[in-house]
Amino acid sequence: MKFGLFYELQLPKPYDGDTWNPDDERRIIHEMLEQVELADQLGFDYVFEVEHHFLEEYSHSSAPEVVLAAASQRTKRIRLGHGIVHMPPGHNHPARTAERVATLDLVSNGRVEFGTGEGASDMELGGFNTERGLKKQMWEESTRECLRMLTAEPYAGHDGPFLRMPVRNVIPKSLQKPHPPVWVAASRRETVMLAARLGMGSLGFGFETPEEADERIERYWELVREECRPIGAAINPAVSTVATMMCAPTDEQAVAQGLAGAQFFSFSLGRGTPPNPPRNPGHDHLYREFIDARREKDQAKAAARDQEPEDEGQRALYRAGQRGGFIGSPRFIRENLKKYEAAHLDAMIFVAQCGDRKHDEIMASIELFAKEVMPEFQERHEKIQRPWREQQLDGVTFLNNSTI
Amino acid sequence: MARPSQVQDEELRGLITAAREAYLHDRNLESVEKSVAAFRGLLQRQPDFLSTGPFAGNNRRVFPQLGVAMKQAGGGQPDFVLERRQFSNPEAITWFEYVSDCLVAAKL
Repeated sequence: MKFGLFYELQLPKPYDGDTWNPDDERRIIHEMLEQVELADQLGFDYVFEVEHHFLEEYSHSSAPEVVLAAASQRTKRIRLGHGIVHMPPGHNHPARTAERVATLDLVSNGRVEFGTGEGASDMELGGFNTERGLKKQMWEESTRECLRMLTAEPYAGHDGPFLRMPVRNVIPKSLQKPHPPVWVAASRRETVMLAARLGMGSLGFGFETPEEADERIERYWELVREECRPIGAAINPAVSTVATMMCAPTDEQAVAQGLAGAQFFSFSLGRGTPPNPPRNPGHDHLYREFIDARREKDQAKAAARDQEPEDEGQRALYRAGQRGGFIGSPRFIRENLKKYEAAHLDAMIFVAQCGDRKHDEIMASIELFAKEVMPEFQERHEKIQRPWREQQLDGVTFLNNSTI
Repeated sequence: MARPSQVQDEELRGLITAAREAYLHDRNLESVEKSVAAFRGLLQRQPDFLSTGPFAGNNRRVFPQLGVAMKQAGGGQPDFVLERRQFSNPEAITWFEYVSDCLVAAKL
């Protein structure tokens, strides 16, 4: 299994203030760069950064190409992934996307992973006047044409429902040929299967359980063999998923350092989606809402502690279920990762920076995970997962530029 | 993920199999129509599937908002209206996958 880090650039407002401190946005970006630099030195395989717009506190990452370019100059080996580029043309014209992806690939000496997506939130779709019911069509048209722009000299032009463009040579071209490995954001199960049919990596954002992952991965590879009609000039057969992670010497320390951040991640993700109240641009204070709601729940939980299972093993499972599989000691994380490894997940991408987590604790977490957990999985990836993947691709003759 | 062969109800299996054949040949509108017909059949057989079935309350299994509207018809059963006549292949595949999963989850 390979590993990566996933960045939203979450930035809660100070509880007692109405807005961020003047240096907060600069700080969070530079902290990310330090974390990515460390991750590169320690052998992490990927960093993926999102593109989101207008989602205050949830994500301040609206120009990932700039941050990834900065990261490229502080790293040597780690792959630099868009997780993802919004492909509807009202968000990003596909020619501009092709230009930026190719330029980042040149700046980084060929380390781009090209993640694509439709966009999801009402705030973003509404902000760019993108009709929700048509965004999948827009995504497909823009992605297909963008990949043609990355490879064709000249690009032949297009006259379609959402993109019209005459003949042009879109330059520069990427260093990776024919183009960087291409992924699609897959929050829905259906999209994982669509990814297989289009020869794309599935960048899972569904926080799948090991059982869900097992089911999807088996079917994904069947579809790559049976129904693949690549959207680009090369396929990137790969299945990854995202999870929040905090690794510390003890489970208790990890929970103390990391649980609230993971909970804020979920809270802020759901904010603005029915039945939750809509967002109020410039006026929301998600962090204060979150903390106040958490205080009420903690009081209820304290009262409910008597209801936890009495058996120690069952109680551990109960508590683990409350916090996910990757907030804990190296041992705890290792045991949960093994379940995904058994399901043949290609890559686990960790959300390390979220909520109010502290930079030095994130750095320590990355380091502890890399030293005590990661190496054995990367070793087995070469010995077991790689040959297994080759077996899955038996009979598949498309050009394969996956970096898994 | 579900396969048409896992659907036991003969009529519904025929519809979802036809949906697959259609998207494989880029007959995307036809594919969506077949998938929607299969889903309509599911709800006729299990009227409570959406409210109390295995996917009820799961926000990762919601009805796809892809050119098909679900409207309440007379008698309380929802009906489905195609909002447009043009669908992309990814949209047809998404409908096929969603309905297939629902049929198998409903044990039909």
